[in-house]
Amino acid sequence: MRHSCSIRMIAVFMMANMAGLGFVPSAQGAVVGTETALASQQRAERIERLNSVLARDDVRAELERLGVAPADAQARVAALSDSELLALDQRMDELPAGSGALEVLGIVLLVLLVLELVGVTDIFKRL
Amino acid sequence: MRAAHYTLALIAALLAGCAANPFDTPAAARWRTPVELAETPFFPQERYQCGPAALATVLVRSGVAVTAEALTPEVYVPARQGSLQPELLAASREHGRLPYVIAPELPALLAEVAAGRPVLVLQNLSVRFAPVWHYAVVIGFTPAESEIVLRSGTERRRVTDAGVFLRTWQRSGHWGVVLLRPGELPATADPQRFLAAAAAAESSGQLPLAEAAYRAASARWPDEALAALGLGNVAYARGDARAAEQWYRRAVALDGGSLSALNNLASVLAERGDCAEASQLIDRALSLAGPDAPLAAALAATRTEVAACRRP
Repeated sequence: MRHSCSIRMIAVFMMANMAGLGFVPSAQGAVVGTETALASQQRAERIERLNSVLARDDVRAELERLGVAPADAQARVAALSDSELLALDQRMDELPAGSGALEVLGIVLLVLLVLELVGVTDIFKRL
Repeated sequence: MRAAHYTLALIAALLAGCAANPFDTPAAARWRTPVELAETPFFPQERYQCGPAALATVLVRSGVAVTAEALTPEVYVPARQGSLQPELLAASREHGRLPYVIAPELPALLAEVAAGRPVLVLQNLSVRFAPVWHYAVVIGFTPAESEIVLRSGTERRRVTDAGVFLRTWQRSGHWGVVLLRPGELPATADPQRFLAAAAAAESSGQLPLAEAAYRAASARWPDEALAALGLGNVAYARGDARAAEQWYRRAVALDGGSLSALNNLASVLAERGDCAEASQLIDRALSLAGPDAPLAAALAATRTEVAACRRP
């Protein structure tokens, strides 16, 4: 059943949109707009949060078991685009926290998925 | 693999079908009594135009005299046969209301409705791979019956099972917006979300709206450096370098590691010819920032500006 005012369109999510803001030099000087300041602050916080997850012993052990150096994973997190970083951060939030092995598996799977996308590993081709 | 996928989908559907009342979750349990913002206006929908009508509904409710027809050219994109979220937000600002994107969860939505603010929501009435997007306005809920009340399409009062509503809402990433009068805070004010709304108004040149929001944020969260930075940026955009300097100083005092605050203070001081302090501030920012810092380009530009600084 189609709703009378249903529409088809591409959803654009504001956060991803906002995170993509760059620095635009103005004619007046080099003052940074608040939107840019906020985006850069959020980026720094997200990287810190992901790195603290990657630094967990259980996560490191699982990554190493799969042949991924945790340091490589951290370097890749820093190289992610704002929208990739946001997506990864949100997915992490959706994982069942504190569920032990299941949580570790989820985190490692997400990290590997991202690394695979940026071409660091080819684990999924081997599986 | 495919069979397993379908089995999982089936199990998920079964689980969802017999899911408990969403109002029984701990976070939603504080809402026990029914709420309905019955005086919320209603704009029956024409085909493809749920965006303008939903926006008109929340704008009128917040005291702006407007109609869905008048909004259509502002937010309707013929090529997409609908409206995009950024256009709805931009149009709200054009009409002097600050759009605040609520936290993507049911308790936040309930809190806003209970505080008297209908919530404009985006739903996907179909499945993820063939989306049928639809804007509607949540105007009430009945916890005991597990129901959500909406102004939706051609229905003045559409009553939906809360579980069904949550699934359609979830497919849009739980996207919901309330409109705030200048200087108003939402019921569920989160500093980052609220400052993001204010900063968007600043970027689009709506300085009075941005300023009112920064002032409200600064009063509510006195330690929030970004609110001070925002007030500085509004003053700077108006050409009031003295006031900008004072706000940037406040921002640096609140967060000495804020690269943006250090940068902006250095920049206004260099413009004024206060070269020594400007130089010291920008060097501090550069020493704190890594080479990959998102603000590296801005910091380098300010360094150049400071290098050219001459005492008047």
